[in-house]
Amino acid sequence: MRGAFWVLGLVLAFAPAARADVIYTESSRSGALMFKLGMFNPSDSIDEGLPAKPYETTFGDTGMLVGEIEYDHYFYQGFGAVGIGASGSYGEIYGKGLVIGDETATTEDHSGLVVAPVRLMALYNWDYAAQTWAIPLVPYLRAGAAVVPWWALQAGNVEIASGKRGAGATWGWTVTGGLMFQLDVLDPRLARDFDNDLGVNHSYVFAEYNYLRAENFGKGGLKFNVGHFMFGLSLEF
Amino acid sequence: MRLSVALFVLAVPALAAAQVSQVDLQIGSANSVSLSKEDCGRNLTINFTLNPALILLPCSPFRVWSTTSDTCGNEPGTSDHVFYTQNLSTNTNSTGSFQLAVADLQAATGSDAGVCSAGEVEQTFLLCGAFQYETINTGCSTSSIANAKDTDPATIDFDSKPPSPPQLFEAVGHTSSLTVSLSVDEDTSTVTLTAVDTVDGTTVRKDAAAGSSANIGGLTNGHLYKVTAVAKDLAGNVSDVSNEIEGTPVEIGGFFNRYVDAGGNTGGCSATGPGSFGALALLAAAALGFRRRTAR
Repeated sequence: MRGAFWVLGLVLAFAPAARADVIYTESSRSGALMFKLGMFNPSDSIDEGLPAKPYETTFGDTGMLVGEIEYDHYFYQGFGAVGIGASGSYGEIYGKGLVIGDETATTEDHSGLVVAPVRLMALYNWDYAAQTWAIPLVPYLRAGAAVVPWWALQAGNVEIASGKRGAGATWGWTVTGGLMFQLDVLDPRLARDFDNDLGVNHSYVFAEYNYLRAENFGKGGLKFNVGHFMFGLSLEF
Repeated sequence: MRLSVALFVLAVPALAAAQVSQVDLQIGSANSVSLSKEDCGRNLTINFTLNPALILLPCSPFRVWSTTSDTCGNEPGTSDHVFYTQNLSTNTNSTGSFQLAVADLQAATGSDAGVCSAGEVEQTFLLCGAFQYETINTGCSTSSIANAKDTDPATIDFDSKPPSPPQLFEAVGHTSSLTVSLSVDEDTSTVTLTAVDTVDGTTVRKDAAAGSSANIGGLTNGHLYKVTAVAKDLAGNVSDVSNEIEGTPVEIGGFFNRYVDAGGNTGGCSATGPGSFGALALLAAAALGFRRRTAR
């Protein structure tokens, strides 16, 4: 509880200073680019209902590092910013293969799973406090459709099993909630120069929780029902 | 005055840089050649260029010889073999050529056996050329004689010695292939693997670069193969056959095989279905369309 007061105190301490410096005319904003990193672990959903636990057996109970780039476009700016966002991400994980027909045999051959989730979302950034009172915290929400193209690799090629090709795309939906910290308050003059020279109005670091539910709406296929944190940098322009 | 000093200072390094070897020997147009026993019937064309600019009086014939030493001396050693001799006169024509029979290369120091009849030979020869001259005409008195030689002699690598046979350790099975761990000697440049199917007798061969492992593909899963190898060096000499090892290619699966075997649902149309990617394209098109509308 005392920690929360300290954070609040710091935020309020920065706020007047930042407000005092805002004497220039900010360029218009149209959207943002977000660069994200996080761990993505689909093991529970892929192995759900499968006692042999194929994901965990191959890769262990670890997730894969994913990188994501999101482009946001605002079409309303007032009491917060409303718009749409599209993102693409990529992650891969490798484990050991198996000798077909001989579960006791070992092999050093690697097996991989690659995912490249794509999202199209409606977004809302509550940046009213940041724009009006220079409070450098921006909570945000995103929700929309998602598709997860995936492919399983064996010896560098897409794996074939029982005549089925190990590649596909699983559809679903996604919800994201996060909090951005506006870096401008740390050096308002630099932030203004960034805007004047490059048109970047604000820059942020952020943390978000993303929930993806991709299971082809019950029609089967590899399931990617994953909740995970992402962290990164956002540039608003 | 200052100008002449400056010119001198500039000219000295320029003159030094312009100095070239007074004898230049080339094998054809190259400065080196690699030969094997298959070249024994060949003649090499040796081209030479002499720089007579400073020759006022030749004091010895121009001679070309081969040596197994590391450097060329000013004249042939007792164990070196002279291939060509030409008497020089003042301002002798500066270029010429002659034929060198590969079989005439001497196998070893002091030996009169040619490389082609001396069994296995692995030898580098330097092709040396030199003559003596003087720039002041004193009748070739000892005190004023200078030596001219090729300062960057051409080399002839003769190799009729095959590399040692590879040593094979293990053949690890993969899908339709075997990875063979092996060791080769430093003379080996390539390895040829031979896998014989013990079930149907078919033979598969594969060339691989020298290394600690080599892969041979195109095999049948579940069939036992007997694998041997031979090593080859740059001159094309082939070793004896290696020891024999056995290996069986096996079908290797990964995550997706485990998933399918476990009864995982591949989702029919979700597996690479063009519909999925078509819908993905629609999603992208929708995003682009919205972007254009808002941009107007």
